[in-house]
Amino acid sequence: MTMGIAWTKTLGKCEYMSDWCNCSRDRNIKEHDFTRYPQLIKVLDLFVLWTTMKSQHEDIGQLKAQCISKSLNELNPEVKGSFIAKDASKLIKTEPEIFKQFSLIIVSELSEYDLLALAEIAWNENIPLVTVRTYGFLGFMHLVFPEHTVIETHPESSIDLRLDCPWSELIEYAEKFKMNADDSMVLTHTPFPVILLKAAKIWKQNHASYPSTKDERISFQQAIKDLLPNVAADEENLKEAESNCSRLFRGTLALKLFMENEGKNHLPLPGNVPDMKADTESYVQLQRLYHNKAEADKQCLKNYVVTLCSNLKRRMIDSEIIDIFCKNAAFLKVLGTNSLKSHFNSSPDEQFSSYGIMIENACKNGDNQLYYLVLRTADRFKTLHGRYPGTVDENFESDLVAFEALFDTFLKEVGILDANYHAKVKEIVYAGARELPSVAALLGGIASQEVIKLITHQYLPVDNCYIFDGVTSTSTSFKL
Amino acid sequence: MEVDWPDRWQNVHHYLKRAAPFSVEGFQPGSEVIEYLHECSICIIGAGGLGCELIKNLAMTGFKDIHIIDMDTIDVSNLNRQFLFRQKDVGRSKAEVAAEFIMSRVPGCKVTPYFGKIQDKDEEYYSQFTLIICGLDSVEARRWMNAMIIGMYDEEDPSTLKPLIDGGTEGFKGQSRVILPRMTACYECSLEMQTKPKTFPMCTIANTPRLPEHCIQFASQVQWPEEFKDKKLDGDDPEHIQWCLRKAKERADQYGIRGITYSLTQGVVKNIIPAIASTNAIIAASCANEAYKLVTGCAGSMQNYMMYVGDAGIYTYTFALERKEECPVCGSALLQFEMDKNSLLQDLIDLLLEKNEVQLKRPSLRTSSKSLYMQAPPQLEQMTRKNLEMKLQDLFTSNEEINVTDMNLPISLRLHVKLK
Repeated sequence: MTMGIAWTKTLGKCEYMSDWCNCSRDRNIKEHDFTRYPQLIKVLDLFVLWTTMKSQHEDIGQLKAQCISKSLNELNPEVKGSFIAKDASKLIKTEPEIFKQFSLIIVSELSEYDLLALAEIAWNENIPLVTVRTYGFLGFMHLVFPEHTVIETHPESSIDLRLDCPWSELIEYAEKFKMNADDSMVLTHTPFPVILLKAAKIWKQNHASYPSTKDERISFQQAIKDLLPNVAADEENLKEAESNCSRLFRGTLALKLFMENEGKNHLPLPGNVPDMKADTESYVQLQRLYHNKAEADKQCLKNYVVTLCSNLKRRMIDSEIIDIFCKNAAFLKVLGTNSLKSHFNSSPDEQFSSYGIMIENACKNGDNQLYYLVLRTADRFKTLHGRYPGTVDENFESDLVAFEALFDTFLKEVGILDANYHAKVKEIVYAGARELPSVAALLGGIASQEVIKLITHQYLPVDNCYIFDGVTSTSTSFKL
Repeated sequence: MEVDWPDRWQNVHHYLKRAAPFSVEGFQPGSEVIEYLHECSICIIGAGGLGCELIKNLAMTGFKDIHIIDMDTIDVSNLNRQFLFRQKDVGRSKAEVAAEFIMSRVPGCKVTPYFGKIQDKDEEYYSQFTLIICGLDSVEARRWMNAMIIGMYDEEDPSTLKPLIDGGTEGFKGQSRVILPRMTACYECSLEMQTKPKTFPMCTIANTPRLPEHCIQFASQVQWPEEFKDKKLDGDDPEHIQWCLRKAKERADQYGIRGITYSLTQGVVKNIIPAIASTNAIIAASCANEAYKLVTGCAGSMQNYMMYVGDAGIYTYTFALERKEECPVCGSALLQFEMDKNSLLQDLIDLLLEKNEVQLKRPSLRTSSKSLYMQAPPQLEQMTRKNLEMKLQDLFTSNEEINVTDMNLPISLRLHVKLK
């Protein structure tokens, strides 16, 4: 039995908070702290890699768990590594309680029955489970958790200028700019939101609503140009105004829906302003305007929170968290996956009937998703024959036939008779369940990245499967 | 001492025992390729975040003759991700410590460190390797290495073909690629894809600021935490940015640096991209995987560029980057401009510096008969400096061939300027 379970217990201060709009996060972990957990990568690396790591040959004959624990501690003296030198399969059956103490469980090698049993324990305790494995040039990872919440998703852009419904200070600010002035210095220093606001004002005199069709958008862009007849078409701020146009209207439609449904409410203003061509004074003024409005929104929200918390007799939420919440209000994310059980139709003996469409597409396109099914077939083969296909030289040719036949049986069950998959199915037998150090290191890196995302509640984890093909160096993520 | 105990390399040998569905055409399985894996010589450039991962991966894969080059010494800030280094190693050469570590842990693996610059070594040195892997954070060093392996390649002599595998990371983003001289796109072909670097080493920020960005980072990363111990710097708070702007300006004045603006201050404060250990692990693993396939042929190489983004889910995109016909390194580079005959030589140089696809730093120009402007040596620079203020029509004829070189880059460009 290969020792193949890693558990993480104390990775920094990971306190779990669920009393804030179902969103939990770790207050102590910021973006930069992503660099704080390199030891995790090495653990995963070591786990998947252990057969080659035996090259530390004084370790041969020692317990793998013990050696890993030792190496881990050497890597980072602050890490407390402990180990249980027991058969994981027995442990899951006889001492399931042991697993309930962990914040997260990583599985790198378990039989399908044991994996399912462990997944049930984790699921019922709301513990995220990460399964990760390599198989020749293939790598596979699957995340399973009932619920995962993220406030700080770190989107590429979180800018919301609110130009569709400017508040009074913003209108006043825009009024101060005189667009028909011949002074090109003034024109080139007019921030693009001002240009857009002015164009929108003129537009609204002739139209009932903001432009939503492509044609209306083109004529709106023309209106911007008409607004500044004397300015050369290549002025940077003018270009900024034009290109921001389409983003604004998409936002408008989404916001309109939100307003209708949520009772004339807006999300709190994030308060940031993009870089733009403008002189420092007008830029800083504009920036201060947005900042103040965001502060005001935040204060409103804080007042609500105070009332809510006292009504519900809950602990007051830290002001710093409200700040972060407001900045990310448009990007909050709640994720959840299906349980592993649902993929096995309650028993691993049942086959892929629920994957009809996925199998059909994968076979048709010959894409990487097919490898998921092929790997599942390999597990099935192991359950039937007591070993993975292609692992014994003498049986290689007969395994090849038997494995393809087994895969074909599965496909026939879902009604697929002809598919472009043979090279990928054969590849599994040729791989012989071997672990390549490079592929193991890659999956170790991928899995630790996702583990850190799950533990810190920062950034978005993959939803929820990932396959890497080391032959073509391509990868695919897909939802199970 | 027998270092190869039974089954030591069974995993990496497995794919070398028989031809598999994805082996390259003509792949010959058996003992010869197995020996080749263990005997071939690999050069790793860079012993930092990527380099540490690379050397570990290659040693584990069974490469037994590894050379590693790095000019840097170990800093405390490296320890969190450059896992071959320990506190006691601070101040020592990265290449040397990495080599010692691997040799102490992986019996039978010989690692030869070189503590110095890649530019110290010549063609003869680089021709001893089967392939070269770069794990660098410097565009200049990559350009140099790329030009070196392309210059070395003689189409008549296959032994001069040195594949280059290049890895790079920035925060959650990364890329790995395989460069085969004159067969795939080279580093220079895709120079336009480079974004300008926005992060700087702490020692530069603290001791040798050159750019306005350096002064701003000093204000935001050193002075702010000193002044406001409990307050976090908020990139969206104008008061905070104003404070950094003022401090950065003071520092810039002290060093005679110009160009600090409000928007630059904000851009720099908000755009700090940390090195992420997992991204390094992923990219280095991909590079090592390509090395294993290239050396053995047990599977084909990636086609030929993989980009990776890991902040929202996991995304990779692998595609065949096309060669550029006019590439100054692997193609027949010819730049063609059209300029007013009364423009000055300085205008031409300014125009050259703006060209993103060649990214020159200090260009020198000469025609077949005379030097137009030479950056070095100093005497020549002084002699040609007056030409900068001369009109183009007084210096060369329309479309006369001009040779452009750059003292920091191993490239030379042909330039035709049509005077009108």
